[in-house]
Amino acid sequence: MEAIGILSPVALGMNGHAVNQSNGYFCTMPENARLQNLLQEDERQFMEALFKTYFPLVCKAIYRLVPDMATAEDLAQEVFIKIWNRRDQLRDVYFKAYLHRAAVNMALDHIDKNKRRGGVHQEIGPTQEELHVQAPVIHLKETKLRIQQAIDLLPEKCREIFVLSRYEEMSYKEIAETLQISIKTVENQMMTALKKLRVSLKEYLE
Amino acid sequence: MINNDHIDALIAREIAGDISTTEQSQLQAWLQEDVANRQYYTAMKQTWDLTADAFNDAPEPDLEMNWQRFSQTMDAPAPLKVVNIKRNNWWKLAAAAMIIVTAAGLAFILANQRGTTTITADAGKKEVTLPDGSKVFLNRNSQISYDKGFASSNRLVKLEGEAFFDVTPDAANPFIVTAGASQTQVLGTTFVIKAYEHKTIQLNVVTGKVAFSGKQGPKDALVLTAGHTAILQPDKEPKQIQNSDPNFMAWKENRLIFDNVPLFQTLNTLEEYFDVKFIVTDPSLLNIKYSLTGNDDPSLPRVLEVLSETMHITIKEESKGVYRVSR
Repeated sequence: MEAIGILSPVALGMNGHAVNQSNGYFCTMPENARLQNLLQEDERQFMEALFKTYFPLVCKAIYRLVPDMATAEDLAQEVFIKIWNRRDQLRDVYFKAYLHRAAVNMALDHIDKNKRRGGVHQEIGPTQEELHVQAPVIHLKETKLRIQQAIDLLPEKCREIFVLSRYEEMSYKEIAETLQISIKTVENQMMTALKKLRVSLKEYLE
Repeated sequence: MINNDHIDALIAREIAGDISTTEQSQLQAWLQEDVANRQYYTAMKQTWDLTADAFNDAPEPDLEMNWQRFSQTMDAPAPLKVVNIKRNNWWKLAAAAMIIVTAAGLAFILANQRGTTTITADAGKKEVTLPDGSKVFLNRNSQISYDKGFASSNRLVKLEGEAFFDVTPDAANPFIVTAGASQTQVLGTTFVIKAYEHKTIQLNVVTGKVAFSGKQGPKDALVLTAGHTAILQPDKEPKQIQNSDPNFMAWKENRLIFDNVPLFQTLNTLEEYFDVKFIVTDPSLLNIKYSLTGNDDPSLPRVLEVLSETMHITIKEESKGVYRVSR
């Protein structure tokens, strides 16, 4: 989609156009091989290619666990700084999986640290009450945002587990190991998450 | 028997595709038993399916800006930290302090008994010349204050809100701006400080050099030169960031520039610039990239008109200063 605003732009000192961009990212094995080659040849070029290929992926994975874009960007920057400092140990790494895992760990660490400092979980979405009040007005386009808000409102551990399983494609075993809890707890929490979401999203589920 | 722990575990495994064939047949047998069992399973499965693309509309990080910021970190092994600021070194070009007690424009000046002068800009912007000749441009809802001794014994200014400073050099008398927890010591320069209550404090250096510090005081100051930006978040130390926002001085220069930025960024800037609020209920609008230039003090109705016509969206004033954006 592209539109140009005419409206005598010169006289008004103003002109506008809108561009709808969708940035996709994808990775294939050849992509990994290319990055590995670059790493041997030119570290800086490697880093730029790696950053530009995977920063959105890292940032979005963090955002799903820490739903604040500015914080997610800061943490994603840290992920890449760590990679840069470790650049001589990346020889056999499959970058996409490695970065994804680093992103998840960075986000979980951040949540833990915040908790220990007694920091409050940042509520970006509306409260349960507001969600309820808004309920009668339903537009299809709002659905995704509302589902995201419902997920953000799950109790913290429950939310972490649900996000890791649903969006980060981690098995229950991997989640249990990462969070140092039992598989049983992971399964319980998954069902708790689904039951809670079922209630908060019932208007979309009939 | 709907709420059986074992069945719940089986459903959880089945939904995530993490189930063995034995478990699968157990689950199937249970589903055959009762219609209520099937309903329960379907409800869980539907909820799982519904959440599939909840994050598809998550905001897109600005890749170029993040790369700029990262490459800067890569290039600067030691951050721009200077332990001691030897004032005399910075101030070789001392100019005599000028004593002009004029407030240009219609700045509202209050002098109380203790001799503190407070200049407030409420609804409009203000341009003020301080007793030492330094110029201050105050944004809306901002205020500066200084004591009687200003220019003779010190040059301390307290800022709340946002201001652009054009400081007259004076070697013997450093110009210091305190804003929230931050302190900016001026080393001959022009710069912008944005320090609204409860928000991150931001400093943009336009020309010259300043030392920016937080609670730790000036000995840990970050020295910034022209074109650089630093922020101070509550309870943190100042840090340098990449400022890709061409509108950081928009309020002073009366112009707006949006160069292929997502709509939410445009709306954020417009909210600040025009002191209005936007309500967007359709998140798919927020990431549409947009370019627009508005020179010569663009008016809000004009900007909104161009914005809505070029993006094919509707912007309606709902109540005073509150606009709803929709398709």
